[in-house]
Amino acid sequence: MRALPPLLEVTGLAAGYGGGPVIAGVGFAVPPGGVVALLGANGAGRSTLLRALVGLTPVAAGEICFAGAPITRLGVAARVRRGIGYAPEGRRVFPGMNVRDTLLAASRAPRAGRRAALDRVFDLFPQLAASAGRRAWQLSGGQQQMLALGRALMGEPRLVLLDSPSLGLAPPVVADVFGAIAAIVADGVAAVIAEDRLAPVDRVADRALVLRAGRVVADTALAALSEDRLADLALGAAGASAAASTRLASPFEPG
Amino acid sequence: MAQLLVNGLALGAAYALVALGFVLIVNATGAVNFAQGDLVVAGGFLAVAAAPLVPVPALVLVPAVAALMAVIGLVLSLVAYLPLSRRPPVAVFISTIAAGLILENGVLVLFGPAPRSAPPLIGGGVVELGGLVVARQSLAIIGVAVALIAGQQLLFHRTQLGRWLRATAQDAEIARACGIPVVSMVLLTFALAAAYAGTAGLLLANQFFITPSDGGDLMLRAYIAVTIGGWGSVGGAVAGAVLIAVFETVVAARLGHPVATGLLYGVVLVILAVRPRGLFGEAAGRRA
Repeated sequence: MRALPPLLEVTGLAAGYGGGPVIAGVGFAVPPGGVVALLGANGAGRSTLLRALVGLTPVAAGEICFAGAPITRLGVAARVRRGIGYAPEGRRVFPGMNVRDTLLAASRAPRAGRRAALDRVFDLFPQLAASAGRRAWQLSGGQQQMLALGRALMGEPRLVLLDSPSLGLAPPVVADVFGAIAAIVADGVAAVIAEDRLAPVDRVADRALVLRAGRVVADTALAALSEDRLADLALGAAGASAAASTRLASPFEPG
Repeated sequence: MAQLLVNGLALGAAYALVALGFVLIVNATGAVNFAQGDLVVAGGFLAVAAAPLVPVPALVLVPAVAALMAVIGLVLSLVAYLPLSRRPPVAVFISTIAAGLILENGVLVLFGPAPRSAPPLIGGGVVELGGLVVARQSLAIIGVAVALIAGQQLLFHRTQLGRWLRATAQDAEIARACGIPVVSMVLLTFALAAAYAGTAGLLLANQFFITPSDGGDLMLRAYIAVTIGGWGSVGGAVAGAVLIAVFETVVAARLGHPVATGLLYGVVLVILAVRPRGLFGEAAGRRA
């Protein structure tokens, strides 16, 4: 049986800001409906990679193909139209806009399509439906994260890029958020989820990509990883032994 | 006193349009448009120029002046904002100051330095409201401003375009990541701001004389209104503008214009010291 062609294929990607590339030589693929955990310590380049995929950070070299077509030179709006959704690190909700308007703003569909997409997001996140008229700054951290996820879904993407969705959330809320993510991927939406630890993503991801200092140091089945192995890969042997007594990173630290 | 209040409200209504345009650009771009006052003057002189060509009440001229000013706003954003949008904010400050000076001197060359006035919005005369005699012009100015501010609120809060404009104002980068055409939203914001400023110019030129050099003063009024109202707050800017105008009108009637102006700036200093976020105290991050 032939494998499905990848939905997202990244080859030799280098990206960064004025001071030189933050990531270099990054390559990986995500099949349709696949879920890849993007792991690594703080500063490894996880956020930069996701931003480069959606088009917010300039690409210096390499190629990004989505659904069989190159998108490296496309702008952000064009990538979103093709089916890429993005939930940034730190949630970055629109603080003065209410939940309903935030979600509707993220749709480019005509009125009926917008309403249908809104209903789907509200079905997925009943907490958002119950807070539809509240401004985003009034929501709890967990609700804001759900709003950021819902916003990424309003364009009806085939792939979502989720940057540190567990960041700053208490464990029960993390479980809620990842329960929602599991429902999203169960609908056939592929995902790349950046996290600094294995624990939040292990129930939804099938593969793991580990970054260290902007380069891929492992592309493996998630089942082959443990937190200790991840620490070895993400920090290097010396860093891992230094971090052994403190764990890799606290879930309440920025990723 | 009641008559003074109505006059103050009429002046405040025009100031509110100036401040509204000012705050829309601040929210959408993070930049202060120092040409805002000169856009007001340009709108006023457009009405002055159109009056002999189109002998109709100035109310009929409002849509035409607003449309022409929207085009000028688009040009302003293309020339003075977009090429510098990735530079430090000071670059945009300077470019809008330069654009304002070009506008001011263009008006000076075309019309000369003498004060001019636009035709009345509607016929002259007064109406009696509950024992209060009110100039029809004042009521018309208030009516036009209220209609335009209500229109802005409807656009921003009841339409998809308005949601995109607000999302752009709240976080332009994430708005882009939602597929919103952010550059178009910024251009549209400049067009709207200029249309509002130009309409304010028409209203002010109808009630008061205007000169090409009035832009600096009007810009300062808008800046103060936004500072008093809470930086970035649309409602606060409108309320701040009305407060300034009523204060100026009432105090000037009692103590003269120089004292009123001096006191106004004194009060602003006190407000800044006591309530640095403005009277209405809305944090910029929570603005709507």
